Parts: sequence; C-alpha cells; structure tokens
Amino acid sequence: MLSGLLTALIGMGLERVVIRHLYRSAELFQLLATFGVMLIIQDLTLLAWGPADLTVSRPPWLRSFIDIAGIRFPAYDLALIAVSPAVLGLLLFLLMRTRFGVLVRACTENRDIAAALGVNQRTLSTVTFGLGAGLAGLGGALMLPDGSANLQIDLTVIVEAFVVVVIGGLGSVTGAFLASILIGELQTFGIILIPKATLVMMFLLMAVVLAVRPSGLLGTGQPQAVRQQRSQAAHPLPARVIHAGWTLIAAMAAAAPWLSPRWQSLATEMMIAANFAASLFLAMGPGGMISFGHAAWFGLGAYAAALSVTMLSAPLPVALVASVGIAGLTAAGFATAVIRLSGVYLAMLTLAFAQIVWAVATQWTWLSGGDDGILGLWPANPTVFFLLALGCTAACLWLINRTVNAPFGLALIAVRDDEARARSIGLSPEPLRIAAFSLSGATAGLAGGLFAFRTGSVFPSYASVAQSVDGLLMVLLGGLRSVADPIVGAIAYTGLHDLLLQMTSYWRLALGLLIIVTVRLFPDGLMAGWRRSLS
Amino acid sequence: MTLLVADGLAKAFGGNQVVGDVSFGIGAGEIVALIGPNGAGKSTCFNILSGQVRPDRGRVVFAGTDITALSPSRRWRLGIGRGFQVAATFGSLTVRDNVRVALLSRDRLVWRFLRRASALLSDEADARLAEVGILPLASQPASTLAYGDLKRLELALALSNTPRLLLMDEPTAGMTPPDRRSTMALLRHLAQAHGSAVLLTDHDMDVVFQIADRVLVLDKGRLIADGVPTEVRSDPQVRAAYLGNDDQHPV
Ligand SMILES: Nc1ncnc2c1ncn2[C@@H]1O[C@H](COP(=O)(O)OP(=O)(O)OP(=O)(O)O)[C@@H](O)[C@H]1O
Ligand SMILES: [Mg+2]
Repeated sequence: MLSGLLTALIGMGLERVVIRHLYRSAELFQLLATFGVMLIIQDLTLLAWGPADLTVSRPPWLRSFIDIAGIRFPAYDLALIAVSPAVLGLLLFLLMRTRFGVLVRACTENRDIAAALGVNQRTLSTVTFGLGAGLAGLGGALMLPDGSANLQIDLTVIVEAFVVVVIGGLGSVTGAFLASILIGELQTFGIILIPKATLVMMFLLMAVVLAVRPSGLLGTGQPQAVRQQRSQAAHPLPARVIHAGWTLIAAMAAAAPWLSPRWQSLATEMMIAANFAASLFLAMGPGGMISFGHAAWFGLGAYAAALSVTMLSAPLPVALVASVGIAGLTAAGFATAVIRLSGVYLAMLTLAFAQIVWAVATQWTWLSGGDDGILGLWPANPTVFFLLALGCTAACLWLINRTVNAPFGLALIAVRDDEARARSIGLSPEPLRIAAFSLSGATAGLAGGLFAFRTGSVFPSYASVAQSVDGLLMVLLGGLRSVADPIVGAIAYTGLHDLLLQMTSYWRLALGLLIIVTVRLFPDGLMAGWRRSLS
Repeated sequence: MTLLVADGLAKAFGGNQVVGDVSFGIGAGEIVALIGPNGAGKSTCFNILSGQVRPDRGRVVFAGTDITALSPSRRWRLGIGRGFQVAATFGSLTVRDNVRVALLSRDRLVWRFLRRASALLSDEADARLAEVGILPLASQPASTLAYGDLKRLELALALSNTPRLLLMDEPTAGMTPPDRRSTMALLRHLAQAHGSAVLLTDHDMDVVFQIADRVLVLDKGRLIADGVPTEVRSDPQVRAAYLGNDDQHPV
C-alpha cells in the first residue's frame, strides 16, 4: 500500500518536472524522456541499495496455507487473486462512473477540446500519471515476495506491461485484465509444455491476437493520443552538407593508418551506430513505421555474419553480404505479414519479433552458442577492416539519403502523411512500406554484421531490447527530418556513452539526465534545434 | 453515354442505414450536385464511388466496367479523381512536391530509388499550381497553408491525372463566400478544360445551384429528388427535408 502511495507521489512529481513540458511535442519524444527517467532511476536504485537483489518475505499473517478441495494454497497467492479484481473494479468505477473518469476520457479523446471546455488538464494529467505510477508501484510491491527487486526489472516489466496493454486493446482496462490472465495461464501451462519458450509464446500470442484483431481484444481503433506522430516538413540535405559528409569520409579514410586502435575502434563504433540509426530513421521517418525492435535486424545480421564465418568459413565481405541478405529477406517477410498494422501495434510486433530473435539466440545453443555467444571473429587486419566499415557506412548512408529524396521516398512520405489521399492518387501504401522496411532491415543487418567483426564476437544481447532502445534514442536525439539527423544523433549518443563510461560509473544517471535536458531544450531533436538557431 | 452508374448502393454502419438503395447516373462532362442535410450520407456516397468504402449492396459502373470491387488506386488509374470533405494533402511535403508525387504516380515513376525527385516533372507541377492559383506558395510545406489554399491544392491533386470524373466533397468548405464563388467558378472552368464530369456537394446552396447542371437530393440515405436546379429548388419534398432537419442553410 505504502509503496503504491509513494510511487504515486514520485510519479506526480516526475510528471510536474519532466513530462509536463512535453505534451506539445510528439509522443515519441515523451517516450524518449521516460526512457531517460528510467536510466536515472536505475542508477539511483543502484546508488541507494547496491547491485544485489533485494528480497522480501511474505507478511507473517499471509504465510499460512489454506485448504481448498484438498489442495493447499498459499494464503498470499489467494490474497493476490482477490486483490487484482478489486483493483480492476475500482479502476473501472473510477473511469466510468466518476467525474474524474469522464474528464480523463475526454482528454484522451481530444486534449484541445477538453481544454476549451475548461478542464484543468494540468492537475488532471498529474493525477492520472500519479495514479498510473501508483498502481505500477503497488504491482511491483505485490510481486516482490515471489521474486526479488533487481536492477534489470525495468525493461522486462515495461515490455511485458506493454504487451498486456496491446493484447487487451489500448484504452481498455478490462481488455488489459483479460490479457494478463491469458498471459499468466499461457506462462503457467507453457512452462509445462515447452519449457524455455514462454517468452516466445507471449509474443506469439500477441502476434496472433493482432493478426486477428488489429486493435487488440477489446480495443476500438486507435485513440487520438496514440496515433503516430506526423513529423514536420522533410528536409532534403543541402549540397554543402553532402559535400562536408564526403570530405569527412575521405579524411577518415586517409587518416586511417595513423589512427590509434582505440580511435579506430571508437570511430568504427560511431559508424556502425550511424548506420543502424539511419536504417531506423528510414523506417520511422519517411516510412512512418515505428520500430521498437530494430535490434532484430541488427542481431540477425550479426549472427548471419558470424555463422557464415564459423560454419562456411566465408571471407569477411561475403559474410557481410550474408548479413544484408538474411536481415533484408527476413525483414521483407516480416513486413509482408504485419503490413496491415500501424502505429503502436506495429511497433509492438517489431518488438515481439526482436524478442523472438533474442530468445532463439539464447536457446538454440547448438547454433548460436547461447549466452556464450560466438567468439573469435576478429578481422585479420584492423585497418583494412576500418576502411571496409567506412566504405560500407558511406554506401549505406548514401543509399538511404538517395532513396528518401527519390520518387520512392516522396511516395513513401505521401503514404505516411495521408493514406487515404495517397490511395486516391493511385499510390499503393503496402508495397511501398514493405520495400522501405526491407531496405531498413537490410541496412540494419549490415550494421550488425560490421559490429560482429568490430567486437570479434556475437551475443544474444545484440538483438536485445536495450539495443533497440539505443537505436531509438539515437534517432530521437538527432531528429527525423533528414538522414543527417540520425547520424548526428548516433555520433552524439555513442560519443557521450563512451565519455560517460570513462568518467563515471554512474553513466546511466548522467546519460538519462542529458537525454531529458536535450529533449527539453530541443523538443524535436538536436538537428531541428540547430536549424532553428541558424535561421 | 453515361459515364458513371450508381446502381442500388446501400451501406450501413453498425445497424445505422447510412445509404439505402441509391441509384443515379452521371453523363460525360456533366456537373452534378449531390446535396442533403448534415448526416444525409453524402460523404459515404462519395467514399463508395471512390472506393474508400465498400457498399453492402449495389454496383458502381464506370465507363462500362464494373468497378465495385476495385481499390481506390485502381479507380484513380481508370480516371476518377477525388477531393475530401476535410482537405487531405501531404502536410510534410512542399506544395510542389504534393503535386509532383501525384504526377509521378500518374507516370508510374514511383519505383525509382536513385533518381532525384526534385529533377522530375517540376514544370508540369508548377503549371498545375498556376492553374489553381497557388504557384507563389509552391515551396512551402503544405501544412503551413491557409485552409482555402489547401482546398485549392487538393483540387490540383484531384485533377493531376486529368480524370474523366471528379468527385469533390465540399470543395469550398471553410472558405469565405466570395472565395467560394471564385473557387466554384474555377472548378467549373477546370473541369471543362480537362473534359471532366463532376459530382460535388456543398452546403452553400447559392453556389451549388449556380454551378450544377443537375441536382440530386439525399435525405436520410435515400434519394428524394433528381433534376435541374429550378425543378429541385421548388420541390416540396426537398423543402420539407431541409426544414424538417432544422438545417441552418434552407433552400
Ligand atoms: N465510418 C463510419 N462509421 C460509423 N458511422 C459512420 C461512418 N461514416 C459515416 N458514418 C455516419 O453515417 C452518417 C452519414 O455520414 P456522412 O458523412 O455520409 O454524411 P454527410 O451527408 O456527408 O454529412 P455532412 O454534411 O455533415 O458532411 C452519419 O451519421 C455518420 O455519423
Ligand atoms: Mg460529408
């Protein structure tokens, strides 16, 4: 109870200080800020309680067992079973029957109209955010006795909660309740049937539900608040920026033999990041397809490269071709299957797919080496590899920039801006989106392949949520107007990461703070702010 | 000959019969107005004709081919252009690129990955913009346009493949009265220049009765009148429909 109240208060405070200022910016940037908050909280908990897991035992008065039909049930579990429907009932009552609920729902439908009707949204938003945080806190506290408090709890829980909400249908509390029961059952019985595959099954369930009911079990279309953002005017790169880019690439190529291994390595990491971010930009910016699981293609590319070396003893360039091919083809297949979905639902399925790739990489030990990964992929000559990486990056970025400014890119943006209008000038959104998504997957695969050789190894974490989040942060940090934005975002993010990692062990805290400050100062990305200050 | 035949169209949304058994024809080059009180089902009719909405019953025949099952983009290729009630344009593209992408689509040049779009069809795009009078705005993003200009841009988009039939749902919505009259005159002029027939709707009756060769009246999803403007204007059923619905624009 106490933890619920406490987190509610913290939530309200956060809303006032951070989120409050972002309502006018696109949802994605709000999301970015909450990731920043998450990083900070991660480090604060590390500071306060240390890295060890914390456990709490069940309260004494619930430690007994109760006999039902001859089977002994722990009282604590029974209490849990009673608590959640009670919370559901209270929440439904609050949303459906009270003035507060009516106001919240009005604001979800249309913030501006609600404001025009004199609804005090500031307080309302604060209270709603606090309520959400409080319930989350309560949930966390309730599950403590069955698990432990640890530092990795955040991403896992966010992903699971997201999945539950999406399966249930956005905006439907009952739907979310049903979905969590469904997932609970699936996990309990799944463990008996196919141990190890429960995670995959959760995401498969989501895939099936979304394929049949594109807005979730009880959802009714997409509420306005989660419709995907429309980015502002696309910006073709001015010629001098392109010249500057080529000059930089040429300079790096010329300087390669004199760069120390550390600088070569950092530069390669930045190039790979730029590659990865640019590929995500292609899908998210002009393509309008938000991807929360872009690491899937990165991971696939990395494993394709590694396996073609270890199993087929392919030379490095051939391995990279395999990265592009495997990631691109898989992305094409995936896009074809899910093309009906858009917005958050599509984003969730990309996440689901990335989780499946990750699970397969962890569990198919015979192929992937499991958590031990695949090692020993060092390129023979680091400088040659550096030049190769540089060449690949240059080619990738050139291709993406060209594509965005070609008739194809124009049509893609048209389809994103207004689908009905695009259809009524003869454009077919589906093939355009599939092609863009495949290209995006292929270039992300190349980034993954390069990364495998840069680190000399491949691990399941290459396809992890954290890797996807890194990509999102880079893209959002830079902006979504032109291909230069994600490149700048990638370089800034990688550089900061590297710098902070050296300076402080609490780099998450620092990075989180920096992200929040950046989002507040540049609500639509670094590059947009830069352009504004120029004009 | 009849260019478009709507035959027994019907559509219900969740038990609400929005369009019930509507039939009419439009001749080549003819300007027809489809009017009716708010919620009569006009926009739904437009959506059925352009392919955005699939009818529950009935057929749409265009230039002799049954197009009931065709997608909006296929219909556009056959020569049906449309404007939406709420101006639909590509907000993040410049005004010129809005028209350019329509022209690229017309010429089937969309699947080019390496050519610069800005080098293609600029002159024709500018000519189209000049036609509707918004050439000076060509390099602005469409999202920055005033509503009346957006409606003009939409007209340019609808005309981009010189369609044989233009479907314009409230082409002058949100404009001032003088603006409305000039836009309607422009629409009429362009339709004649391109040889397009027009089906349009509008809530400004003066403007509608001035431009239309023929007027169809829809009430609660049913066609209650079909004739030349003077006939329809004096039709008692039409008057009743408008007065009965307490509409703010009586005939
Ligand atoms: N997609 C839809 N789902 C449910 N109901 C719809 C849908 N589209 C239209 N309707 C309903 O159908 C009825 C007719 O709508 P329509 O937009 O065709 O009317 P209209 O004659 O164009 O009205 P207006 O003059 O206000 O534009 C309205 O009651 C509307 O609420
Ligand atoms: Mg309408």
